[in-house]
Amino acid sequence: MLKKRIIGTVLVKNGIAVQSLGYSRWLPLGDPLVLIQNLERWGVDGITLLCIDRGNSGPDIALIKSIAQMGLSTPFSYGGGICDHEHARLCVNLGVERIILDRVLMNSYSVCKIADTVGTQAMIASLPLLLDSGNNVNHINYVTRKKTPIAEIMQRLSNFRFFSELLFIDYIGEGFSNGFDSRLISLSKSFADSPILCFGGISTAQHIKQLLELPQVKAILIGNSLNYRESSIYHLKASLADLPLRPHSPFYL
Amino acid sequence: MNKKISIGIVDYGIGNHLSVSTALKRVGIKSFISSSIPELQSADILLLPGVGSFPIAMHNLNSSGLSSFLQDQASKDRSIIGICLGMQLLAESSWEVDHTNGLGIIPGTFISLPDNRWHIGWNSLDVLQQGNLLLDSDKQVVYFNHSFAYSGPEKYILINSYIGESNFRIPAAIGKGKVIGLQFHPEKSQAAGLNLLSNLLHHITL
Repeated sequence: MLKKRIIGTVLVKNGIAVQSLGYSRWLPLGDPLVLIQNLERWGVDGITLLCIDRGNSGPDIALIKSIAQMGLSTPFSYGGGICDHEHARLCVNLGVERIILDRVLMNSYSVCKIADTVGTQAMIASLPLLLDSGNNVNHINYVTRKKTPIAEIMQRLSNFRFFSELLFIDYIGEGFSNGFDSRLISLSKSFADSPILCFGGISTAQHIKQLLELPQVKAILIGNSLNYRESSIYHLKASLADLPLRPHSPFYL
Repeated sequence: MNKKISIGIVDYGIGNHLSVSTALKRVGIKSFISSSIPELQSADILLLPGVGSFPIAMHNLNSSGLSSFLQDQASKDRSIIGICLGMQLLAESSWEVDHTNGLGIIPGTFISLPDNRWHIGWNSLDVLQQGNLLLDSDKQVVYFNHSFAYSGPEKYILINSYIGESNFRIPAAIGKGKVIGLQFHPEKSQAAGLNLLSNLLHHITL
């Protein structure tokens, strides 16, 4: 049976891996290549690289090439700066299994071209979300800080069928222990019935269990906390033995 | 296994050639990436990787002459391995986007998963008796990422995987003679995938 996934995530800003705290403060962690090598060695189910400062300047091809040369044998996803099908093709040709799209989401033409080029199985929609005071889920544009009700976003995403998974990012909880609010999922269910990946403030086994037990949640992305202890993945999977996860498999070759 | 084998990775403009070649390097297998037919003819085994869209992939194969080359090599009992989209291209056709003809090397077609789903993540392998080259990988967990699945004669199905509460069956590997297709990504399945790939490549030419 298909397993749920624990995906190690590396955020990069100005070429350095950073620990993010609520999208507003960043603490340097070091060389992203070292962190990625560690994640593979520790046996994560996937690795995601998010370059958070790319804007419209395209993906960080130099960094992706360096990662390709490392020869990862773990599924690898990339987000940051992908604006068109050529960017998407370049990423995939360099070994990126799946691309995470944000700014280009509302551009139906570009999304369609990207889907034609790399296939819908390669496309993930990134959705930074927050709950307002009325417990309504809003999408937040992290550049303009504009909030839009999720129902409206889903309606505007007429190209929605092109995304095989949705990445729900807890905009407020990101960087804080147990920050991810599961109500973002329960309150979005009627608008978004696609498979969901969760990111932002997820670290403890109990919190991971709570999220992965939700049928719609297929994976959780963990950033900061995995870097504190080499055996984090082992201990997490040991505590989550009753979930449909791939058995812990440290990878040394 | 003493003989050193050489793998020719077919470059048709899209696909994760680099991932595949570095994976092969990790298990000590030499490979080269090429779109040149004379160069590819020198390889012991042809490997057809693939990530992307079936219609565009077939367009690229047809316009480069690689389709006829692969069909010709299959008819001469050459060893060919297709991975993910590469496996799908080996079939007669696919319904991705529109109905598109494939290489026609393995009978069958590719159809959308039920409810237009995707099969993404790690899943275990149920190796069938006719998949004897791959029996060592029975119950191993490998990485899948696709939304179209093989539909064809049972005799060409070597491995199955299952999804959903209804245990829907998805052929994970197909084969005809020395042509084998793997729906999953062995090059991205860590030790389980690399061991399978190494085992397969070393035994397929025997």
